[in-house]
Amino acid sequence: MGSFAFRSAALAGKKKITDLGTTTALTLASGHTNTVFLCGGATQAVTLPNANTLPVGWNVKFVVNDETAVVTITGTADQCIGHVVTGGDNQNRQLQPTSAGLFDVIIFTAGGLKGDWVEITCITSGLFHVHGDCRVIDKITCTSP
Amino acid sequence: MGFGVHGLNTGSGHFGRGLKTIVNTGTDTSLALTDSHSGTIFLVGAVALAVTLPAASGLENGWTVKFIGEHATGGTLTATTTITGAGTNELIGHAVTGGDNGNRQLQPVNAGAKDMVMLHTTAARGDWVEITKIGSNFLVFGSSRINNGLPFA
Repeated sequence: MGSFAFRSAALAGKKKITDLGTTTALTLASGHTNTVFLCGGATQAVTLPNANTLPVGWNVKFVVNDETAVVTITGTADQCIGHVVTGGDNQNRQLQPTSAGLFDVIIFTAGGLKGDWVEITCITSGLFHVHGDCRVIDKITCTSP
Repeated sequence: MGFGVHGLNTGSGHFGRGLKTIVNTGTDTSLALTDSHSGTIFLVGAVALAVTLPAASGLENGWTVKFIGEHATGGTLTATTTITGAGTNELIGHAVTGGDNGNRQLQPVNAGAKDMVMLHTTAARGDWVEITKIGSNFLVFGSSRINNGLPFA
């Protein structure tokens, strides 16, 4: 998929939607900005670009549309700030990461549900802002291994 | 900046390349927003910053801005950002705050239109608030991992 397709969607004020299906590995690049990836159809390993190499404003989103398998998004060490809110109806909110701090791995774990999502934006050199929501406690995790 | 018509997310330029517009407010202490700021994400928290929204009546529906607390000292924001409407009672909606395994702490505590929202110095790095012009009001939504880190007043 060339960068023209991504620009066409953006020019129309739309997001580019890509269903990862049974793809097992995805290495993101600058040209993937403005894309919403539908994920979970297979165990999927996604590699984020080093935030130092991206234009500020670069953004992607992942939405679970298949509850089959785990999706792991891995970036360069400690380039992510922000939080994901998890938890079901009438429960306390469970944050990921549980404490404020930098992280670099985001995982849609087994037991997450369709519609759970994470958005990742390069907000300045070397730094991503992450936010998202999951309706099952801690089924999206944010860690710094 | 390559904004489209009335600053909304259309047209070519920055948005046309699929990139969000990010502005680091740095050490600015005041910021008067205009129609053309729509679609912008502002990084705040380095110094006390007073932001003034345009009058809602003068904006096209869909005008939107977002603020992310980025500049932090010891995990919480270095200074407070105060975002104030040009008129009174223009802000509706709420922010959800609270730490891990804590109750949802809403701001404002009771429903009702407000004049201002703050990314308080007690908020954490990465906390955020988004403001969208809808009808005659601004819809405000945000999330903070600190109890009442996004207070309304």
